[in-house]
Order: sequence, then C-alpha cells, then structure tokens
Amino acid sequence: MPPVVVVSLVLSPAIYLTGRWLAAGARAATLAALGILWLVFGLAMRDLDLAGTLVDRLGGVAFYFDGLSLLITAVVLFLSTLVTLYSGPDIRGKTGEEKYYAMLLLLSGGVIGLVSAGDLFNLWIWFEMTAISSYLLVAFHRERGDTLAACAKYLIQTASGSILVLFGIALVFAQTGTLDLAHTQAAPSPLIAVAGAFLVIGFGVKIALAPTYTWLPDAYSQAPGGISALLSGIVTISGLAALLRALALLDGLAVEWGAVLIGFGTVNIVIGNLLALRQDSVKRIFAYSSVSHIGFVLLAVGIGVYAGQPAGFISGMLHLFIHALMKALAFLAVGAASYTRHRTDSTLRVGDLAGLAGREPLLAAALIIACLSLAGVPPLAGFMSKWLIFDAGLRVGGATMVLLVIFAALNSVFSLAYYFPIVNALFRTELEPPQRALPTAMQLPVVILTGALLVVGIYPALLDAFVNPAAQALLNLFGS
Amino acid sequence: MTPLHIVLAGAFILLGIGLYGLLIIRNMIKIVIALQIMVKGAMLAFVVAGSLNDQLNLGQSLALTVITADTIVAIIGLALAIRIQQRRGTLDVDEFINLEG
Amino acid sequence: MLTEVILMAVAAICGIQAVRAVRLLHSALWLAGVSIAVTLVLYSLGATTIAVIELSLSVGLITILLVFAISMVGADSPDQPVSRPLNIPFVAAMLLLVIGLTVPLLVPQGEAAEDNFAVTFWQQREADVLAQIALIFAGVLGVLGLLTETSSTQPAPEVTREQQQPETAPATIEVAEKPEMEQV
Repeated sequence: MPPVVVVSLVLSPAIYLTGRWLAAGARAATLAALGILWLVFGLAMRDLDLAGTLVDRLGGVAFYFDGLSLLITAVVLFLSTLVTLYSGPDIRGKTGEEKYYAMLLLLSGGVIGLVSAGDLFNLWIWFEMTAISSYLLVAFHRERGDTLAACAKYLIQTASGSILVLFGIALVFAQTGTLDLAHTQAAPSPLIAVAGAFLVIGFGVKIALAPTYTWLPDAYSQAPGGISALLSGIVTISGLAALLRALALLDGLAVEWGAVLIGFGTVNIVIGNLLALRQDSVKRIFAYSSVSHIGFVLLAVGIGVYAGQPAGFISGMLHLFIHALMKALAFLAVGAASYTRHRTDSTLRVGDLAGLAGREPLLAAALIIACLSLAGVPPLAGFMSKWLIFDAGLRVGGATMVLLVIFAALNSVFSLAYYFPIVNALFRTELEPPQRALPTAMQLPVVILTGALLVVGIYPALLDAFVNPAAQALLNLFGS
Repeated sequence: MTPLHIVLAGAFILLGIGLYGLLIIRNMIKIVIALQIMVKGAMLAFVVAGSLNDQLNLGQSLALTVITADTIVAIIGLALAIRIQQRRGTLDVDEFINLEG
Repeated sequence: MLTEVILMAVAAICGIQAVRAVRLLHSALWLAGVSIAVTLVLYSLGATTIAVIELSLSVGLITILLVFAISMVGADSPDQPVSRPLNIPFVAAMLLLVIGLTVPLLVPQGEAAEDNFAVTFWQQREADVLAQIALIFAGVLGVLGLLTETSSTQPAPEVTREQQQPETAPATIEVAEKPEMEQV
C-alpha cells in the first residue's frame, strides 16, 4: 500500500487520542502528521519515474501510483495543510474537535488511497472511506437542523450512488473474472455498456453530475468553512478520478464515453450557472459555481477521451488543480469574513459582505481574486485554464465541437453575473462592524492561496510538473 | 439458465425495489431500510459473479467487505436520523429536499 | 433451481412489503425477512461462510439497531408513502432493460482452483481488510460525533435565519455498542 496512505491512516487514531488527552492538542498533532506525510510523499516521489507508474502489491491487490495520483495527492496534501491551519480558530473548543481533525486526516488518506488504487473493488472501498469520513465533517455543526438535513441528503444520495457502483463492479467482475485495473480489458458488449452506465451514474452522484447534484449546495454551504474548501477541492474530484479509472477498463467504447462526458459536462456548466444566479447566500453561490466548474473539467477530459489527444487532458488537469485553489480560497475567505463578524458562514448573504473592503482588505482582495479567477477574467489563473480547454476543443474541430466551445465560453462570461454582485458588495457601505480580529491562522492560508493563484496565473508552467504526468497517465488509460 | 442467473436477476430486482423505495419513502429510517435492501442485492451480485468465475471465495470476500462498509453507513444514517428527530422534530425527508432552493 | 426461484421471490415480496409498510417496526421486520431469504439463497449457492455472516450481521445486528433507533425516535412515527403514478412502470422498465441486457450474457467460466476463504480474505484481499479497519474507525468516530451533545467554549454565533428549534430534553446518548465487526 502506498506509504502515504498507510501513514495517514495510522496517524489518525493517534491524533484522536492526542486530542482527548491534551486540550487543543489535536490540531497540532494534525499539523505534525501532515508534515510527516509531506516528507513521506517527497521521499516516495524520488522513486517515481514521472512518466510511469509506481506499482505496489499487497496480497492480490495492486496499487498503481501514476501521474493522476501524483497530481491529486499534491492537491490533497496542500489543501489539507491549509484547511488544518484555517480550522484552528473556527473549531477550537467545540465538542468533537479531536474527531474533526482525525476525520480530516482520514479523509485525506482515503482520497489518496482512492487515486492510487489499482484494483477495482479496492477503489470502491476507498470511495466509501472518503464518503464515511466526510459525513461527520459535513454535519459538524450538528446543533443546527439545517446542517443535519443537508448531511442526510448527502448521505442518502452518496450511499445510493455507491451501491450502483457496486453493481457495475460486480458486472465487470462477472464478465472478466479479474479486478485488476491494468489487466481488465473488457470487450464491448451490452453487458459492459450497462456496467458502464452503473459506474457513471454511481460515481456521477459524487461528482455532482446533473441531475444528481442536489446534495451539493446544501452540503457545501452547511459544512464548516474549511470542510467546504476540502469538499470542493478534493472530494468531488476524487469521484471524477474514480470514474475515469473505472471507465478506462471499458475500452473500445472510448469515443462514446468521451461524448457522454462532454455531454454531461456541458449540462453541468449550464445548470450550475443558472442555479447560481438565483442564490443569495454566498456559500451556495460558490457551491453551484463548483457544479459548473466540474462541468468544465468533465468537458475537457471528455474532449481528451473523445479525440485521444493530450490537449484535453492537460487543460482538464490544469483546471482541476486551479479550481481547487480558487474554490478553496473562496470558501476560506467567506468563512474568515463570517468569523470576524461572528456569524455562521452558512447563511451569510451577499449583502452581509458590505464594507469588507474597508475593514478587512486582505479578505476582500482574496474574494475579488477568487471570484474574478472563477469567472475566467484574464490574466488570472482561471482564465488560463479555461482558455486551454476551449483551445483543446477547437483543435478537435467539427461544427458541433466549435459550437460547444462557443457555448461554454459564453457561459463562462455569463458567470460574471453572479460573481460581480459579490465583488460589488465588498465596496459598499458597511452594514455591520467586525466583532473579532482576524486570526493569523486564518490569514495565512488565505494569503498563501491568493499568492499561489496570482503566481500560477502569470506563470502556469509552474504546475507542469504535476499536470503533465497526470495528462500522460490519462492518455495511457484511454489511448488505445 | 442456471440458478446463478436466477439469483442475479433477483439481485437486480432487490436493487429495483430499493430504488423504488427511495422514490416513495418519506421517513428517514425507512430510507435506511431501503438502502439495506439494495445492499443485499449488491452482495448477491458479487457472490454470483464470483461463482461464475469459479472464484466463489473471492466473491464471498468481496461480499463480506460490502456488508461491513454498508452496515457502517446504515449505522451513521440511523444516528443522523435520531439526531434529526431531536432537532427538527420530524423525520420527513420531503422537508429536507427544499432547504433553500 | 426451483429453490432459488422461490427464495428470491420470498425476498422480493418481503422487500416490497418493507418499503410499503406504514409502521417502522413492521418495515424493520420485513427487512429481517429479506435477510433470512438472502441467507438461504447464499447457502444454496454454496457460499456458506457469507451466509453465516449475513445471518448474524443483517438479521441480528441490523435488526436490533433498527429496533433501537425506532424506539429512540418514537415507535409511532408512521410513514406516509408518496406515490407518483409513474414510479412503478419506470422502475420496472429499467429493471427489465438491465436484466435483459446482462443476465443472458453471463456464462460460467470455470477457472483454476482457488484458496479457501480464510486465505483469500485475509491474504489476497489484505488491502481490503486494512481499509475496512480504517473504515470502522471512521464510522465509530462518526457515530460518536453525531450523537454526543455539542457544547462550546466559544460564544455561540448569532443565529439569523434559523427556525426555532424544538427544545427537546437533551439526551446524552452514550453509544454503548460499537459495531461488532468480528472478522470471521
């Protein structure tokens, strides 16, 4: 088993116990654990030939750590560290604090396990692991009825999806007799098509494919600020990674699956945009924006699968990384703004942000950069990745594709309609003064993320070390 | 048509019954029950899949893991239901569906 | 073969009754019925190990947990099923499609002999076992976290658009039983 996964799983109970014995010790322990994980990750990376795969076997179950695993692991570790820092003031003193941090580490380990899995059934277990560790995290503010309801919705839909995935796996297993992701190449047949449908729908719930996205706005807005950032940055994406790994088995229908992904992606883009317009709560706007951006990633990957060219994969993976950064920044900034005003961030409305630019210029700047980047305004990072996606689509050519690209680009511009009111509100006259100072622990992640976004926007090639291996891995999976 | 085919068809039927339940059920605890019905279908599917490939023990191992994982999900679901009953006074899922639009 | 047909039919009927029952307790009992039928099917397929586990976990543990949960929320929470006219035909059509496309295509492919269950589970699928342990830990934390009362040393944030929460007497529930996942 990849050492990163083992270490994170083993350290999680340690964090829990530390938290029980030492008040507020859990967070420090988590940071220490994450430090160890970075170290382990770095050491493991020295062995990784970035164009290839680290293969690991435990019994009959294989683990393949390839470029896609590398990218997502990096995102997971980065975001987890920032969220742990951020959560300090937010969670301190609450009942269950030590559970929060322990589950956070379990969630991270679960996602890393998922993207390193080489066995179809093992993949599912890590998928369950991710889901189960996220349930308490989403429902952390469990004294609120709305939060519990959101978690219930999340649980019901995710659990149903996961059972559908099981049926898909069982069918593949029945047909091919093996679960190893490298060896299972199922010949196309109606049975495999049905299995694929089960997998797409089942994983699709986690990815918030239309029409099974309804859990997302509630879960994202009711979860604590740091968890919203993690959910959008890594949990939803882990569903996508799982789907891609599973679909890669059903080779021979590559072109068709590409079209399916493109179709779903486009629908997501549109629905996310339209529904975001109706929202007044800031976190819900960002949640629907995530639905839309997942659509962009799906569109890009779909183009890659369809055409068999790397351009779609590269742009998709870049957007995945950048969106994780942008959305995390957005959620953390909103959470910090709520914290200073001593409000719960779930119900923070756009109007409540009035005057933030005057009082907390750092948060205002962060929100402005996040929103503009999400809308795809040049020269920010979001524009860069979206541009590459459109470029990939145009390279494929064909009237339908060009029309789709234009449509997606229009949607991207359209999203300004709901980002702009947020930016606008920041400069209006102040409605309520802050009640608490902004803690350094919250400032630091915001600063880091803002800086990262600005740098990446100017010099996206910095991410090449992660994006290119991931794209290459996807190409290997889907190219025939 | 071997017994295995019958059981696999039955597994799908259980899935269908569970899904139908999710459509019409309004009480959170009954939804957990419906999910459990679906899980039994999945478990049967794995045992059948294993048996078809003469790897019955592998199928059983997978089924065991499925039971474990989904039992945990059911327990969390029940805990959530109890909590919701305390906080909102109702377990009616239709009240959750439209939280804010 | 007849055995399997009868048992699956029993399972299906119990399942439908579980979904349609109005009283929660009845629903839980019908679920136990499904589990018993499934156990017998597994036994008839030769999967004896999993049959025993299914019996003890589903019929035993899950039924007890359901009864416990039902008694906690008040055994009289009835469920009024909502029925939309298109539900049954839709689900039935999907089912027929799925079964028709998959079941006939599956042919038994006999392969080499395999190890016994214990070796298969503990050694070949060791990665699954380790992941399960982590899963169980996560589940326990989750349940404990969900059921313990919340308190905070920070002042509570102002609640703006919350509904008035019904002030039920806070019951500090100690979840005494952890899921006893004794691996066979």
